[in-house]
Amino acid sequence: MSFFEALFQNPSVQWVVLGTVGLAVLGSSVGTFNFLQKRSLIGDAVSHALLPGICLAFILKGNKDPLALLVGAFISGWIALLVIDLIQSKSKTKSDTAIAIVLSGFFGLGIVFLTLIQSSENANQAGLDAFLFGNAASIQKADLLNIAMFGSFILLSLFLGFRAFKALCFDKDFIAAGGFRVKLIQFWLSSITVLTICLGVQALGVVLMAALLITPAVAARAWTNKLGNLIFLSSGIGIISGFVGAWISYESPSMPTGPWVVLTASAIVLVSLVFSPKRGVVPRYFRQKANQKKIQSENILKALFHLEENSETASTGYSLKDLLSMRAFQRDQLVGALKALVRKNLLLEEDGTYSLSSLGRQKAGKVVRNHRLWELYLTQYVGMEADHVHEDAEAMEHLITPELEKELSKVLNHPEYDPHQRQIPGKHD
Amino acid sequence: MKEIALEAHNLTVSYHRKPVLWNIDFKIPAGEIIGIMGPNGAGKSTLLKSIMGLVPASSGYVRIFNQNLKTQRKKIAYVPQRQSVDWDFPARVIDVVKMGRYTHTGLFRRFKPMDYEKAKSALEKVGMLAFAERQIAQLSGGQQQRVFLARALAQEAELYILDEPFAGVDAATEEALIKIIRDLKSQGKTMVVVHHDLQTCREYFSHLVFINARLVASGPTQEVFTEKNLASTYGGKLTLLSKMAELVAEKEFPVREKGSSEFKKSS
Ligand SMILES: Nc1ncnc2c1ncn2[C@@H]1O[C@H](COP(=O)(O)OP(=O)(O)O)[C@@H](O)[C@H]1O
Ligand SMILES: [Mg+2]
Repeated sequence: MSFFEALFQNPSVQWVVLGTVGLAVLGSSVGTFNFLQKRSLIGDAVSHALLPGICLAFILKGNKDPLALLVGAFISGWIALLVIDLIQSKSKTKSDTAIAIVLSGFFGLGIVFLTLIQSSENANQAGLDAFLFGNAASIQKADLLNIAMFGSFILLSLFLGFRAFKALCFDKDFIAAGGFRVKLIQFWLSSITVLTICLGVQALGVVLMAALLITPAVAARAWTNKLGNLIFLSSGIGIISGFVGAWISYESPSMPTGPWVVLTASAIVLVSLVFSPKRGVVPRYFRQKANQKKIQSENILKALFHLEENSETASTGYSLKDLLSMRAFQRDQLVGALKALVRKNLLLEEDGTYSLSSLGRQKAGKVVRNHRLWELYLTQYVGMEADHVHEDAEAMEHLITPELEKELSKVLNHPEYDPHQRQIPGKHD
Repeated sequence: MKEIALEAHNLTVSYHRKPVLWNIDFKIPAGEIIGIMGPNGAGKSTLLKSIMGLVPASSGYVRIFNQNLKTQRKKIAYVPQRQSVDWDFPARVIDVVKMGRYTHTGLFRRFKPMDYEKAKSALEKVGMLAFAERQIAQLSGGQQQRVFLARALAQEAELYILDEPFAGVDAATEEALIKIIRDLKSQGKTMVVVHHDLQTCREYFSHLVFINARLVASGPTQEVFTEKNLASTYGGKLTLLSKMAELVAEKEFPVREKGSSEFKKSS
């Protein structure tokens, strides 16, 4: 039976897929707020810290009653949170250190309990170590019911508390100053975070549940700037990851679900960080390339402008050598760039010499104007010496927008000469 | 005397047991523009946070319009230092300004059309209405400061407390901000502004509070803007005071002995 046939016919496959996808939605939507609060590591610490609670609940109850384990996990996770806060506020320990201490301390304790249980040869203990790595295939109807019930509570909380959580993440001091109970809001957000981790930990495991809290949010952040969209997108990425994870582990049963869920989410992060238009590495590379090209062609135009400016007589054109004497261009790059400028009708070529077209002269004039205005601004307003401003203006001339140019011209009272007494080209309006 | 908008009484504030403000004691009249001045690390931000109840006082208290802070929260608009938040947060300008309405709407009730109107008109006052739908990540420093002020305006408070609104903003923004501050004053509001530029402070403020870990002087500008006060506010670090603070933290001494403040009142 193929995965998709099974999805429609086999209830236990349906449980696994629904459970995994549901957990992924919960983890990624709750996680978005933790991510925005820069508390990403907290999820990691809490999920590790559930272990002793789960083991104790098992010892007390004597079997693997899902609800009892959930309660044990929840209490244990909350104690971990409190201990982290306590360490931070009472000693000068930094937050990452406090988190690391609690994570390893609680997890160590949990492993000790787990070993004790396993050596007691309790017939019911089988599968308790699923909490370490997760076992999505073990999702039963009862688990699904828990996920559905507590999951609706979590989503409803997020919906009702949206404004409060948003304000908490953006500017905690401001809402505290408004008299709102910031501690209560934080308590509420932390509680649904702990609850989400508790729900997911048996199916997906400690480490992977923690990753699911953060990874989709990071990927989504690369694509959107709106909080609402961020949550939906991050949930969507969670759903895809959950689905793909369940699919792969159905096709090859030796493959665990949890790691595949997280691997899928991580792959999406990678793609996002590489390709997203605003933050991606590749688009940024192309933007930088384009900038460099712009800078280079403007520098060539400027060099010709200066050559024209310096020569007494009107010359027909300038050779490569003339250009190289003005500025340390790279020879082969220069040749290519010159050709491109000729194609764009900014330069005229005649027998290997180049001169500015009227369009090119206009453009070069603008760059020179920006340069000289900026030099003047630096000397007059920033108080820099005239012999120190050139370097800075070299870079800024390519960046100054027409609006800024107008503003500069205005504050400088539409000057005619720069600090080196060279004429500032362009309109003096 | 005029109504008192804000009173700090023997306020001492500590971080991790180390006092950063000692015995701050001053009164601020209502309906004026008051400057709080002091060098970097003097505790100006801490003073404002303590006034707003964000950091607890080790001793002393704050009164707003002669009442407990709790009953007066709605009347105070606090503008934190611009750098205190992450401007890369996914929100639009209008979303931030709408937060100013929370003291009226609460965190759960739906916004009424009136609340939107007020947020918009606050943006208009700071000259940022055209930016309402912009992402805050795209704003310049001056624009961020305008948005922060707009959020406070949307709150429609009586007392405005601004932490370094002029720090790192362009001249045009500073001009716009001071104009708004003066407008609010002329409507009878009290404006408390942390400021660090000695050049402009006499022009901006009718009253000044000089602090540097302890209160140096407070009062009408022409009385307290003196050579002597400037020297003791800005002239060097108070080595003895900071040594004492370290000692308090190190030896885990209380900054106040129990019962001493009651004793002082009766004596
Ligand atoms: N959260 C904090 N924890 C510990 N020390 C702090 C904290 N905030 C400020 N301080 C210290 O308190 C002193 C006063 O800081 P602050 O109020 O920010 O000064 P100002 O606003 O006048 O520059 C400084 O020495 C600073 O290092
Ligand atoms: Mg400060």
